Amino acid sequence: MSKQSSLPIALPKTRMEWVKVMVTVPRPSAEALAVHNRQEKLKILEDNVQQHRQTLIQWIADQGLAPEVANIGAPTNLGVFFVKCTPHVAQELQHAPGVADVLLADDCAINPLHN
Amino acid sequence: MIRFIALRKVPLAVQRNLQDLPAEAKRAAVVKTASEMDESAMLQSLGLRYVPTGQSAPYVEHHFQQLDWVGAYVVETTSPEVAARARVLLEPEYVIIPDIQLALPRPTLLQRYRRRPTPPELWPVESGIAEAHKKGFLGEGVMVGVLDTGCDADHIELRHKVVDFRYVPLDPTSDPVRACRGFDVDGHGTHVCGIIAGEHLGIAPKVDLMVASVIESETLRTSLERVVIALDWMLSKFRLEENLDKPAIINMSLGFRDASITPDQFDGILKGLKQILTTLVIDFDVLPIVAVGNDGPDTMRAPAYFTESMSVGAVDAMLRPAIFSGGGISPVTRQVEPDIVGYGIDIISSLERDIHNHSIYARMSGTSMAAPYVTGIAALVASANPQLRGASLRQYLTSQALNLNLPAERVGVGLARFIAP
Repeated sequence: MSKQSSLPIALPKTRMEWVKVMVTVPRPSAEALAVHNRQEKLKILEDNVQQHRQTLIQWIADQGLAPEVANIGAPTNLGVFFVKCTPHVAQELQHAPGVADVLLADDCAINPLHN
Repeated sequence: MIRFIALRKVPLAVQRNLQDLPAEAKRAAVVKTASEMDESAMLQSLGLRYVPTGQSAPYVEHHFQQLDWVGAYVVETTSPEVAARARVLLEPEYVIIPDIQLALPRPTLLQRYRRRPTPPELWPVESGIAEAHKKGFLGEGVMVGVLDTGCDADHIELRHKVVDFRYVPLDPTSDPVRACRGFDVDGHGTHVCGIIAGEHLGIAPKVDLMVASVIESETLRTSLERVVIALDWMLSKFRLEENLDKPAIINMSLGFRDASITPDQFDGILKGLKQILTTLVIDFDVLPIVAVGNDGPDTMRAPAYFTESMSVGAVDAMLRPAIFSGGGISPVTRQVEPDIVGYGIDIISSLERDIHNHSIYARMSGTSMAAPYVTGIAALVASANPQLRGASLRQYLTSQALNLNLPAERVGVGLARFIAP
C-alpha cells in the first residue's frame, strides 16, 4: 500500500493540543488471505498490525516524540490502530516506517436515522 | 401538500334526532354516537390512510384524521385528484374549508405504547416473513451485529436471548470497552434490535445478537475509533470454532453527513470507513447493511454510499417510497443508491423500559427502521441457506427483491423479501 499524505497542511500549531488519528499499516492482500479461513485471517492480521505497532512505538521513542504521544490504542483486526498525540507528531507519523496512512479521527456528529 | 378541513353542516344531535332529549341525555347520546361517523371507510377507499387523532404521520402522503367531538375530518394529500374526490364525497354533509394551516398541535413523532399492540401487527405478506417462520427459519445460526445507541437487553422483546453487549467508551484509546448488561438511554438501538430479533415482533428472533453502543444519546456523536473498535470486537467472534463459518451481517442505522463535520474530518472518515468495510466484506464475508439517510431524494450519507455497503431506503406499507428516504448517485462510486428498500414508516418495535420497568413499544419511521428490516430478511435467508454469506447473500437478496416499478434512485432493486433459497 502506498503512503498517502492525508492530513491537512495547516494543523493547530499549539503543542498542547491533542488530536486523534487512525494509523493504517500495510497488510497482506486480500488475495493472499483468501486461502485462509476466518480464524487464520484474524491471526495473520492481528500479528501483522501488532508487529507494525511495535515498530512504530520504537520509532516514536527513537525520535524523542514520546512526550507528545498521550496514548497508542490497541491493535485491531482491521489493520488499524489509533494514536492520541500532538498535531506535530501526527504530521511526523506520516514518515514513520511501516505506516501506510494517517487519518484524522476525532469524534463528530452522527445522526441515527429515525424521525 | 393539499390540506382541508371538512366541518359537519348539521349538528350531530340534530342529525341523530336527539334534540328533544334533556341536555344531559342528549350529551350522553351524542358522545355515544360521535365515533360513528360514516365517511371514514369511504375516505380510506380513496387511498387515504386513517391516522388517529394524537398521532402523527408526517411522512404518509395521503391521510385523514377524524375529529369525533366536533364532527370534522382533516384531510392531507399530495394528490389533487384524491383531494377532489374527497371533497365530492364530503360536500353533501360537510362544509369544506380549503388550504387552512391547521392550528392542531403537531403530535410527537413517536407513538408510545405501554404494551404490545393487540392484535399483533404482522409484517406485510409481501415480506415473506410469515412464510419463513412457518418453515422454521428464524435466523438461527446467523450472527448479527448492531452498531447503535445500545440495547435494553431486559426488554420483554429481548430478554429471551443472550444479547452480547459492549459499551465502547468515548475514548477507547484511554478507557476499556465494557462488557455489561445491555442498556440504551436513547431507545433507538432497542427499536432497531427489536425489529431484527424481538421475540414477538422481530423478523429473525433466533439470531446471535451482538450490540455495540457507539453513539451518545444527548450529543449524537461518535467517532471512527468507536466504530472500528466495535467492529473489531465483532470480528473477534470468528476466533471461536463454532462461529467460523456462520453468516454474519452488520446493521448500521446511522450515517455521517459532510455538513456536520469539517472537510478534513469527513475525508478521514471516508477513507477509514472504506478501508474497514473492505476488510469486513472481502476478508470476512460480512454483509454490512446501512441506512441510506433521511434527508430526502438526491441525498445520502456515508457509509451507505460505498460499494461495500448494502444501502437501504424506506417504503411505507403500501410500498410507496418514504418522502424522506435518501437516494441518488453516490458521490464516491457514481452508482445509484439505495441498493434496496425495506418497510420504514410507523414501524412498531421495542423502546427502552420506562422508570417503572414497563417494556415500552413505539412507532418510529426512518431508514433506521428499514435497514434492520432488511437485516432481518437477510438473516432469515442465511439461516435457510448458510452457504449464502457476504457477497453471495447480498446477490441473493438483490435478485429476489420485489420489483416496485419505481425509479432505482428511490427504491433500488425493490423491496427486500424472504424467498426460500
